[in-house]
Amino acid sequence: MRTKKLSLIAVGLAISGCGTHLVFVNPSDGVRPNPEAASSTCEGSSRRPSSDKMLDQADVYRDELLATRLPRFDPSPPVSADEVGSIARRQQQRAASTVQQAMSRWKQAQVCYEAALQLDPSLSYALINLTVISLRIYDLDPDVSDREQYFTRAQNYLSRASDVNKYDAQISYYQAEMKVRKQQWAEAEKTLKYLLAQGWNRANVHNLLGYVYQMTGREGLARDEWIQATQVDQPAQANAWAIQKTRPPPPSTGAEPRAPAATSVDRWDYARQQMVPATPPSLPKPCYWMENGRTQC
Amino acid sequence: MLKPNLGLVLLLAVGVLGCSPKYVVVNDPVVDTPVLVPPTPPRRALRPPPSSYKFRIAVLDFTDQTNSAGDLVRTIPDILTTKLFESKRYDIFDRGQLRNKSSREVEQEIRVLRDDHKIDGMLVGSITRFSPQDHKMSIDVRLINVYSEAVMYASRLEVNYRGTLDVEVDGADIGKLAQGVRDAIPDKDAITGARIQSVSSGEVVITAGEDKNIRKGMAALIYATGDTIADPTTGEQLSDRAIIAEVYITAVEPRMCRAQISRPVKRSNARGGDPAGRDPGASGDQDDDDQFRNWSIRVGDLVRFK
Repeated sequence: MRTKKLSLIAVGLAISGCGTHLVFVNPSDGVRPNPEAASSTCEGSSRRPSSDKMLDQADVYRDELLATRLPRFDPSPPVSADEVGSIARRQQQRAASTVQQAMSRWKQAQVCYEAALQLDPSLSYALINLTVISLRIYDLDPDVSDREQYFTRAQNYLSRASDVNKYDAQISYYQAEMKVRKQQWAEAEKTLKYLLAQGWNRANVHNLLGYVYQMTGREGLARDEWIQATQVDQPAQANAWAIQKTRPPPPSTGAEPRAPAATSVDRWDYARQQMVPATPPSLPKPCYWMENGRTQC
Repeated sequence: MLKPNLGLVLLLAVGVLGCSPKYVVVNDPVVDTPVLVPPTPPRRALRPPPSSYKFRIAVLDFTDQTNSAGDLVRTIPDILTTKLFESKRYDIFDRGQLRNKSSREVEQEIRVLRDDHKIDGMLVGSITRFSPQDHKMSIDVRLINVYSEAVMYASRLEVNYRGTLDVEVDGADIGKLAQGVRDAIPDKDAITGARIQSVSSGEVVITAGEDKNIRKGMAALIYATGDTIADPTTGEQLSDRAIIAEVYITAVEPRMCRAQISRPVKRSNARGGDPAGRDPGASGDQDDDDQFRNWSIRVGDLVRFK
C-alpha cells in the first residue's frame, strides 16, 4: 500500500510539475509616463506666425500620435521561471518608451493647436483635433490616475468646438467616441445612428457602431456595419480597418504548430515582480489557449 | 522487496529531477477597437470673402456718339446709379474713380477691378441720337459680365429732355431704363435649391437653368456643404457654411447651367488678362498655394446666385 501511494505521488509530480505554464503579461502595466519630460515645442511657431503653419505642424504630430501602437510580442519559447521576469521587464521597457514618445507627440501637437487657436480662436478644426489627441493619449496612457484628466480635456475641447459650430457632424461623431470610452453604449448607438440617418455616411461611423454592437453582444449587426464600412472610401484608414476586420481567416493548412490545451495559467504581477495564478483571458467559443501561447479555434 | 523499491526510487527521481516547469510568456490579448480617425480639415473659405453678396456693377460714363450731349454722358449714369441703388437688386460700385477718364484709362481700371474681384459687371451706355428739334435722345445701354464679357442686357430707349443749354433729362425715362436693367437678372432670393451637379477643371454644372430663369453672365457663390448636419428640432443648418468659390454662368440649358470659376484663380493666370486661361489648378505664388490648400468644389455643394 505504501509503495502504491509513493508511486502515485511520483507520477503526480511528474505530470503536474513537468507541464508548461502560460504566463500572461500586460507590458503597459505599471508604466508611468512623465508628461514633464515630454517635448513641448511647436516647430512651426519659430517662423512667421501663421495658423496654417501651426496646423500643418500639429497635424504631423497628431498623425504620429494616432499611428502609435503599444508594442506587442509573440509568445516566447518555453523558458525557465527565472527568465519570465526578465522578458516581462524588457517588454515593459518597450511599452514605457512607446508611451513616453506618444506623450511627447501629444504635447507637441497640443502646443501647436493651441498656438493656432491663439491666432484664430474660431478654429473649430484645431479644437476637434485637440479632442482627438486627448482621446488618443487617454487610450495609450496606462496610468489610470492620469487618464481621467485627458478625458476631461477632450470634453472641454469638444464643448468649445461645439460653441463654434454646433452643427458640425464631426463633433457628434467624437461625442460618440467619448461615450464608447465610458461604455455608454446606448447613447453612443443613438448618436451614430442619427449621423447615418442625416446622411453622414463615413466608414468610421459604421466601424464605431459595429463596435458598439459587438460590445453589446450583437455580433451579426456588428459584422453588417463593418461590411458597410468596407463599401465607404472615406476615411481611408477606417475603410482599411473594416476590410481587415471582415476578412475571413485564412484556411488552415494543417502546418500550424499544434499543442495541447493550456492547463496552468499565471499572470506576471509587475508590482510584486512575481507570477501569480490567474485565469486565462477569455476567448470566443470554441477557441482555447494552447500550451505554446497561441489560440486554436 | 528490492525490485519495487528500485522502481519507486526511479519514478521519484524522474518526478523530482525531470520536472522543472517551463513557462511561455504571452502578451495579453487586446480588443481590436476601431481606429481613431482624425477630423477632416474644413474646406478653405474664399480669402478675402466676396466683396458683395449681390451682383455688383460699375456704371461707366456714357459715350457720346453725337458730340452734342455734353455733360449728359455723366449726368445720366449718375441718375441711373441712384435709381439702380434704389431698386436694391444690385450692389453698386462707387463710380467716383471711373468718372472723367479716357476710355483707355477706364478699361485699365475695369481690368484691375475685375482681377481684384471688386465687380461682377459693368453698365455701359452711349448716346446714339440727339435731336434738339423734338427734345429727345436715344440711349443704348448694355449690362456686361466683366469675366466672360457676355452681354446680359441690352436696350435702346428714347429719353426726353428739357432746356437748351442747361439740359435736364426726364427722370421717369431714366427710371424705366433702371427698371429694365433691374429685371435683366432674376431676383436672387427666388432661385432656391441650386446645387453643384458636376465639376471639371475650372467649370461646374449647376442644377438650375431656364426653369429657374437663369441668365448667361449671372454670378453665383458656392457654399461648402457636407460636414454640417441639421438641427434635429429646427432643421436649421446653414449657419456656418463657408463660401468657397465664385462663378459666372456661361451657358444655360433647360434644367441646368454651366459656370466658370472666377474665384479662386491663380493670380499669375488671372493677371494675364485672358479669362479663358484661368485654371484653378495651375501653379502660382505662395498666397495662391495657401488658398488652394484643402480647397475643392464637390458635387452637392450649395449654389446661391448673386
